[in-house]
Amino acid sequence: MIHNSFAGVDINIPEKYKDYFYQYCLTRTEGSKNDPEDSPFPRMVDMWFLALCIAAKEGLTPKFEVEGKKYKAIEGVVFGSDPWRSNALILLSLSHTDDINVVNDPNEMMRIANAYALAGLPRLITMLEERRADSSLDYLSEEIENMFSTH
Amino acid sequence: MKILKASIENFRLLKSVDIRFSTSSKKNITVIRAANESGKTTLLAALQWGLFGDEGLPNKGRDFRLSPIDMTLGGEEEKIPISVEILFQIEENNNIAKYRVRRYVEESVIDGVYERGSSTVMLTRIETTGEEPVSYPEVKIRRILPLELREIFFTDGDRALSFIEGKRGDQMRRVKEAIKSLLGLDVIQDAQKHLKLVNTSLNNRIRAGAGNTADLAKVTRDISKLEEEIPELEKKLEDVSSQLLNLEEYEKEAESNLEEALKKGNKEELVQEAERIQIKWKRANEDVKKAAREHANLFKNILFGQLFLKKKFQKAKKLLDKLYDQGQIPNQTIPVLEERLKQTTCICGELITENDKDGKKRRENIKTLIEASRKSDIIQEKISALYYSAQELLQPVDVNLWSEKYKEIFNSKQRAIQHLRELGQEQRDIETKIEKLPDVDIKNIREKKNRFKEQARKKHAEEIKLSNLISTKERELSEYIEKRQRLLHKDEKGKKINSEIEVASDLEKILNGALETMRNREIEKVSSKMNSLFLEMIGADQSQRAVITKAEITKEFQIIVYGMHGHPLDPTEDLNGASRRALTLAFILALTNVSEVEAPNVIDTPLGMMSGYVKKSVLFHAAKESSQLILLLTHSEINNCENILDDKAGRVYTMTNPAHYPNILLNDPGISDSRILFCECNYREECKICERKDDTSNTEYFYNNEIGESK
Repeated sequence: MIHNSFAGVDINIPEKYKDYFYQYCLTRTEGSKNDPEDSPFPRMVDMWFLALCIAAKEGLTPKFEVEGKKYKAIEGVVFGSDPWRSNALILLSLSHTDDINVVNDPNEMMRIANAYALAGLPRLITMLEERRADSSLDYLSEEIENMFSTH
Repeated sequence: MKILKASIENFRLLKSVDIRFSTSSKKNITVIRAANESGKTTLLAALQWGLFGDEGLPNKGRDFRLSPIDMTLGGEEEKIPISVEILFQIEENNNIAKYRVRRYVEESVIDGVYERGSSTVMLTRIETTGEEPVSYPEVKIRRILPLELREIFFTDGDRALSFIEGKRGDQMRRVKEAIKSLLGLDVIQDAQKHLKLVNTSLNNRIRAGAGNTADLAKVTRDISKLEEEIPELEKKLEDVSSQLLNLEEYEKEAESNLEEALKKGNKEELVQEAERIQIKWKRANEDVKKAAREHANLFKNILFGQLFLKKKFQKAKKLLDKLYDQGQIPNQTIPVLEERLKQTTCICGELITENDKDGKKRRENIKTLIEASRKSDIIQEKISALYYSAQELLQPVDVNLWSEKYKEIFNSKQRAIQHLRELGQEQRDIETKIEKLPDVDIKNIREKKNRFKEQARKKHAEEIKLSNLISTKERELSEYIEKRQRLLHKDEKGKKINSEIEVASDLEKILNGALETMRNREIEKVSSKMNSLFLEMIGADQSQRAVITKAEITKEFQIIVYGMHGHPLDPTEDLNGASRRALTLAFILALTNVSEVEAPNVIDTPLGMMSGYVKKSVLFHAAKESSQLILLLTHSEINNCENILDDKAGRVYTMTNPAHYPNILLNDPGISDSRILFCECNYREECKICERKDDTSNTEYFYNNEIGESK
């Protein structure tokens, strides 16, 4: 079994994003609202990770300093089920710091990753909210495809 | 018989009426013009009561009050006298004889409840010297006009339809009864009954004389028994056959109702179909959700990370590759050095033993190296693990891969969504159909049909069983008769009786033959006459490719109509109202014509539902075929027939119901009680009593008082 470096590290994000996470993630929607078309992310970590990806892809400046109250949105244990993500976070940290010592500091790596995620979240939320008549899932997919095709 | 005059007192709304009927052979129609609810049917009933008594009333007079409805008396002592007096003439011994029949009854009415006493009837023959009472008046009247013929001569347009409408078995029975009564076939049947009595009496004589011949007595007894049994069985068979016909009709009707209902749509089936589609829809909905989940899972896919973080990964890869090149990946220093310490020489070949001064120094260096390596080992271990486990992430990926995966999943999802939409549309279509369907219980109709089918099957089996039984009994009878003949031939007395039996048997054969011949010949005559009359009435010109080509009465006494190419038509379904009435009137007139029975045809509303050519033609032919035609007509029936009536109507009356003021009547008749008024206005005239408002003012009145009120 591959070791999860982030097992004991929590992800804290500003409270202002809480409702969006609840709205667009299936783990927090129930009953008739439990529809992937409207809540395209299976788990909250998927939404958080996409935000991170968008920031990285779009070259957004990571947000290390964020004002306001934060809450624990995701526990690091979740990366145990997706080892490639754990590696992706480490590679991102290496890339960001250019220092291999960072791999021995999970908190720092998560701080870096979260800074990217927080930089990408506003863009991601805008995409989700601007979907108009489309479903969130379809609109988001189209936007992502556009991102890949234009860069 | 011709009716000369009728005087009616207190017969329902006919409180005091005197009518003279036309007896002229050229102008043989008497027209009684009356709007609806103006006493036409009452007059028809009054004439029948006068001639036939309660037997001539609807439901044989049960629950049929005769006295005027507005007449209520104070006590039991007071009675309302009701009478109908009819003056008629008949041909008797080549002379015209006149008779007067007067039927009288009293009714007491207390608190709206009536009680009728026994009626009396008096028949007198009018002589030049005065009136001579006739003994047994009912018998005499029945001889002049048999009760069985009542429905032929006194009818209304609707009732006459029973000869061609209703259940086939009942239709055929009515037609058969009418033909039998009017053509005198009953007389022959009576003669057959007489012969049977003769046979019975002969059998009794044989039994009485057979005394010591036990065989002969037994055979004769058996013959008598069979001769009683067989007609009873035949009668039963006739009833069963008639019931079977009716059941087959019911089944056919239910079948047709079922087809009709199914054509509109089977609600039960549609509901089941809707349920099936609902299940399919739920499955399809699950498929859509599954496809959406697969779609959403794209965001968890490694490809996603590879593409988005490509640049970051490239930079990290460079760093890792450098470490690899530097030999820091994988981290193998410590094991190599530790392994070397176990040896006596270094990799370079120098001694590293403790005994040697330089070797010891070299050995200490290696130990220091091991200690330094241990410090960076954790990081190197992690970097090494990352280097190997992240290889997949670090591989170059085609940017189109995600797009292809997305398209594949998107299309699959769209197919699922499209399927769901189609099922939704199907569901809505079915629901709309269900909503539009009348609330017809198809299950019930089907059960009804099956019930009739089962009953018909049982009845058919009963028919076959009875038929076989009759054949067996007839065979037995024939064997017994032969045996009796042989036994009778043994002595002289027997021979004498046998010859009498033979005479009776021959006579029976002759009568049977005559009945059969008459039945066939007379039916053919009536059928042929009815056909020509009917076709003329409806103006069916064969050279013009008429839709109706022929009408006939079958040997089974059914009236059938044929269309083009001899295709049989169902009179109830395939003929319009006017043609159906024309057909029944043609049958009645043909029957009276062939029978040569001279009696008045009193018909209530014969031209209802008719118009144009058919109406005029029916009136013309009815006048031509009848010896005396008394027609009870509405204003609309008379409309456009005035010219024919100018030629054929000898007398015309108008009956008016004062209760129709002010809705229909123009003038207030000034009558305080309920009664029908008579005037002698003909079909072109109106007087103060019968003058009606024109159609426009009637319409205005109806609008203002009926529709206007309801608004």
